[in-house]
Amino acid sequence: MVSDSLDSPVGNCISLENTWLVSNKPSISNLGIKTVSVSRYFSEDHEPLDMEVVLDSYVKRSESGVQHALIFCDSLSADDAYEGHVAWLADVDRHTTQIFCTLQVAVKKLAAEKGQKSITLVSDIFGIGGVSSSKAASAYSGALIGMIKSLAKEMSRYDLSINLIAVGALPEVGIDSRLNSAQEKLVKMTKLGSQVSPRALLSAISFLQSSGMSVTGQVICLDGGLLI
Amino acid sequence: MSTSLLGKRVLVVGATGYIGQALALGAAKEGAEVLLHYFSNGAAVEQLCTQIYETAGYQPRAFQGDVSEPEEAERLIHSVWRAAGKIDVLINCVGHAVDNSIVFLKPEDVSTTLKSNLATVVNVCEPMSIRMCEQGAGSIVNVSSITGLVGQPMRSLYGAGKAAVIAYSKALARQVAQQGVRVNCLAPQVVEGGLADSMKGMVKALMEENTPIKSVCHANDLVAPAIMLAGDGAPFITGEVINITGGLVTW
Repeated sequence: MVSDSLDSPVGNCISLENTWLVSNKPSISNLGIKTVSVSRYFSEDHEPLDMEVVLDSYVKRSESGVQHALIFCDSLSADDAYEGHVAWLADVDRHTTQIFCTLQVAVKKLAAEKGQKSITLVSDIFGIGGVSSSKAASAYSGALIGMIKSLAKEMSRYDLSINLIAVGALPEVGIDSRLNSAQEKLVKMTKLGSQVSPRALLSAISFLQSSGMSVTGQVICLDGGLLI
Repeated sequence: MSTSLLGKRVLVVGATGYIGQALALGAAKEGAEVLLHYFSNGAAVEQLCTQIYETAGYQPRAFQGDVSEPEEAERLIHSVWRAAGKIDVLINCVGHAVDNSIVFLKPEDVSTTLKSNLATVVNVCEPMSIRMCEQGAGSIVNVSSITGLVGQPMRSLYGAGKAAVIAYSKALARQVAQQGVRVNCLAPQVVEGGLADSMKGMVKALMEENTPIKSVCHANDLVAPAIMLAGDGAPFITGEVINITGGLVTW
């Protein structure tokens, strides 16, 4: 549950001790999530990791078991960071494959567990409306949305809910630094005229983890009204 | 014969599939000069050429190529453009489904699916949209799938590929709108003669029962929406996705 806490840089805190938290973003600590540890899906040298090994390692350290998976997906760069569409297609492939592998091991683990189980992806909003300067990020984020919708239908028989939170401007989570101009534009276009707060993200995660099968296959936009 | 595409040159990529054949023939019936792309089915493209000749009175030009390979796709667009002088409309109908539970899929299936569904579209759209922007006009219609919007069990990768096509199309639509080029998508449910034929009878019957129109989707059901998006009748529509599901998906 989300609660105010003085020991968190953002003044909020969420306890995710039974959650396998996956993120490549060092900035994840800015969100104030209390967890056993944070797993990566790419190594620091950007090599894809064997996610079965990564999950096994987490399970051995975890005392409270694993009931949920929370996967923070990287945002891809703006198109001008790539040398043409062949390069960005390769990056879409690489990232989609690694998220798929992460989902696959999470699904295998959680489907066998009893009780309330969930997988939550945190991505960006580029896959919903498309961004002209970043067809790569749009295609990648779109692929994640399409993937979780099919998986939600496939996994409902195992009482495993799968959802995605599409975040607008939230620097604490870190849209790729090369997308700063797009991020500033997003803030300006946001109906609320401000960035999305980390607290809002923590609340959404909490809500999805506690909603059972009532909410599955959904994309929750945390974009301050940008895509109304 | 109708004339809503009269004088327009239309390239249909993936013209030998069920949807591609219907859209190519439909465009020809509307007065377009159709150019056909095919990958390997020479017999099917010959048959389609004959049908178009009998319907529209001309023999369309056909171009072979593997558009999942970027160099071949670029070469194809170059050849088509040189042969036709201009292309007004690009219709992409290439795709392939991998059906399996996530539990049994392999990491390499992700690459295969993205290559056959996303890369095939991007490899053609990128060089084509540059040329269309230079000529100051054009319309691109990408055939995606309702699976990309609402998902389907056992098709997580196909859903990912088709959703990526939709998101890419929206991003491209925003990028090229000011140059007079529009980009839209069709999202049909499984099509009779295509993916529907690979479904189990029970699943197919259930889908038909749940579809308010009480029918499965036929490739011809895509023709009118594609012609509308392709032609001059939809100048203010871009970045849009049209569901073609007989009311099965209304959101």
